[in-house]
Amino acid sequence: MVFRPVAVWREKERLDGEIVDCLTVILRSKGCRWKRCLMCGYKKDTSEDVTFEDLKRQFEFSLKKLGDARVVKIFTSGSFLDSNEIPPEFRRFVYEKLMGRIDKLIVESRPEFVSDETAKELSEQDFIVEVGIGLETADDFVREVCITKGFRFEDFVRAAKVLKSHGIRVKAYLLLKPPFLSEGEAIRDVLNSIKAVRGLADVVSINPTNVQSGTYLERLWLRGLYRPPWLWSAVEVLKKAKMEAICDPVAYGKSRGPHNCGRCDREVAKAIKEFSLTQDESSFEGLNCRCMKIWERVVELEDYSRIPLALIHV
Amino acid sequence: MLEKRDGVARICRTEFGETPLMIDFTEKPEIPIDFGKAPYPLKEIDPKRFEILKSKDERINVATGLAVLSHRKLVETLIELRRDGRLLYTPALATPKNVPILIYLGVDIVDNIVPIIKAYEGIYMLENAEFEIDSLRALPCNCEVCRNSSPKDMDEEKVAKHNTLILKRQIGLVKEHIRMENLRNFVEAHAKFDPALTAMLRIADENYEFFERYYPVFKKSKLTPTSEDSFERPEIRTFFKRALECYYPKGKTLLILPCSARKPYSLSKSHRRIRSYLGDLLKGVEEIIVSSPLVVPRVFEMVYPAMNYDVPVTGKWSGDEVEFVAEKLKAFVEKGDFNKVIAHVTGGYRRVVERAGIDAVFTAEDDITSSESLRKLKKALEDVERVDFDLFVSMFEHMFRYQFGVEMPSVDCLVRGRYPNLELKAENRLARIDVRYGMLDIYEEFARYLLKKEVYTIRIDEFEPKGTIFAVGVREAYHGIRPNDLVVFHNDSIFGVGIACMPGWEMEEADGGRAVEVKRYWKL
Repeated sequence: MVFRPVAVWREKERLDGEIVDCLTVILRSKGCRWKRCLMCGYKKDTSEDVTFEDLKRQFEFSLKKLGDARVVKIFTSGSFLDSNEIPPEFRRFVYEKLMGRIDKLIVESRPEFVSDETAKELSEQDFIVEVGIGLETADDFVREVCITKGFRFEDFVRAAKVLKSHGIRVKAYLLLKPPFLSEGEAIRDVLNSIKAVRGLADVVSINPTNVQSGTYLERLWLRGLYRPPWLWSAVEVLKKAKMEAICDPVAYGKSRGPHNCGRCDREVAKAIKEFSLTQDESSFEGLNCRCMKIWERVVELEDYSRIPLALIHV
Repeated sequence: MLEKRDGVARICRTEFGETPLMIDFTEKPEIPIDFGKAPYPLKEIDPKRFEILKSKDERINVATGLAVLSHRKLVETLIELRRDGRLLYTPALATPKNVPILIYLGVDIVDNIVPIIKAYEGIYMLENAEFEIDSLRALPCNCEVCRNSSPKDMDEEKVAKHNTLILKRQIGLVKEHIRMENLRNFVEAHAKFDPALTAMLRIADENYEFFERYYPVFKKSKLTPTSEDSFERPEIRTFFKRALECYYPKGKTLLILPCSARKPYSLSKSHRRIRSYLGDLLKGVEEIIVSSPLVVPRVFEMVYPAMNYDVPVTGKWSGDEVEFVAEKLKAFVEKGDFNKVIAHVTGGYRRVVERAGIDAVFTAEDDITSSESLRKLKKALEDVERVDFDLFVSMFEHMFRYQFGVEMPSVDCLVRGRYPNLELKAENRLARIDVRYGMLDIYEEFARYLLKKEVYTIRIDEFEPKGTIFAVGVREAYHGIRPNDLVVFHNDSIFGVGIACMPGWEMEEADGGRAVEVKRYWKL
């Protein structure tokens, strides 16, 4: 019996250019049907025997913290729209509970679970719905070989078009620094991906890779073959995005998460979060650190080294 | 194209310049090289994905990411990579400190990525040291960046430039050592600057079979074993392997003597004094000279490295040293059928003889050339069993066997010349001692003999060789040939002798490069 969600907390979120309160819920579900991505360790937040009843209890527990939050995010370490993972009756239960109480619901799904039927269901609610899709990159080769994501860019395009046709907002998750990409390639990959999803996605969420335990990526990281991206790279990408772009640098400042030199991490992460809410480039003004010059060389030279350079904190 | 080999290390002329070379990333080079996506160590973790993501460069073997490997794994990986004859490039691995051993292990191309990044981390590099730039009072360097500058003048870019110049200079130095066939001496001494380098060299030496394929048996450089790490040097292992195989003592009496600083030993003051004092008493007596780490039967004293080495002599022997040398001495003594062993040695040398468990008569007091010592030695030699043999002819026989692995033809011959510049003559000159390389040079009759025996021979295309024979002109080569070996080349119309520049197997595999320097040839 799993009555408690993995996590639930209140945070700030952007809604129509306004900064509002948001309830974020991470439900323990059966988990992702695909579960083969090299960097994904969310399996640990799932359980095979989660029932409809369990989900209901988890959600009810979470709603106690709703208060006057106007946005709700429901993440499941999988796909909200996968009926195998999340029973349709649970989805209906969620809609009923939220009806008339919030302005926006944000969920996540792999593109294969986005259909006219699921999109229609979402469009019938009295709040705005946004579906986040883990596209990771617009480059099929990188997505397939470096991530093992198991779908193609055209699958994302189809899903995004279906969602849009029902008036649902699309968020594209882009992975900053998939395995085997250099720091520079990672930046270019995200910028190219942003270009590719412009017009299809309403917002992009830049996810700087973090090293989760039990993953393939962790094995690379333990051997010194991988380093999460520099926070400077996230800043660079956000500055050049030219569309609504948000970023929550999970585990920033840690060696498993996106980090700079250790001295400036907190300040830079704060600016990134602030920018995500305001979309105002002045958030990045005044950021400076000695490690910036090292990062510039790293961006230039990791293309050739193919392993992290400058591992030491300065 | 191969210009010069010194073991696995080599100088090649290539489209990128003369290797070993450094790609300079301070200059934003146009690099037409495929680096691939995945670092080389992925090969072991996930071979399938590695195949898709690896470098697909056809001309250069690009091995990225080796810096993450342990010393052992790094050495093993470089050995594995060297199975491929292409130019080997190891991106983001070289530093001024490690570049000598990298080249020694077969790396052809390096870059300055690590020196650049280190510079931005505030590290100032010299050939054998690294400093935090902030901790320096003055710049201990007179390169173009540091000249007339002080540490406070140095920004990251300048340090990067300086580090790059030092790496370049180190590569230049290594290149000269390759030309002098002296790289191993340099690498061994340089390794003492950093335990990591010493560890790598020791691990490398565990792979004798790999190095042996490339290593010359005869070299023009002086061997300088200065530590116990030298005991496992390829040159020393090869010497013991061959000398133990080829030593056939004829005499029944053995005299053990200590080594001398001057080589060959017979030219030294101490050996000359002993030999002149004993005169004819030495006839028909075998001699073995104990050194460290070498043990050299007199008949091999003109063979490399016995001919040309220098060791630090202090009179103090370590336990390991005594053990190592005693084991070798025992093995040589066991090759003979000696009924009397006289050991004219003292101190550590005596400990060696004792440790070897040899039943010897000790004749030396503190000084081996004192009248008392010499008198005792003379007395001990007075009524020993003698077998009639000529030392110099025996030297030629042993050297021939050592060098070519077959018996010297038994011909009616005599030795001429002033020691050590000896030559063997019958009607014509047969062979002479090449004192520079510590080996034999041979002439027509012996060359014919090797042809007949099919050893150290190279079948070349139908042309008349001028100066150099290139690998493209080689059809077949005896696989035992090593660089610097004296070889017999031949085709349908001529045969001759020359000096090999690369191993025999490589002459067959390589598309280009110098294979043989011609010395002389005759019409068939």
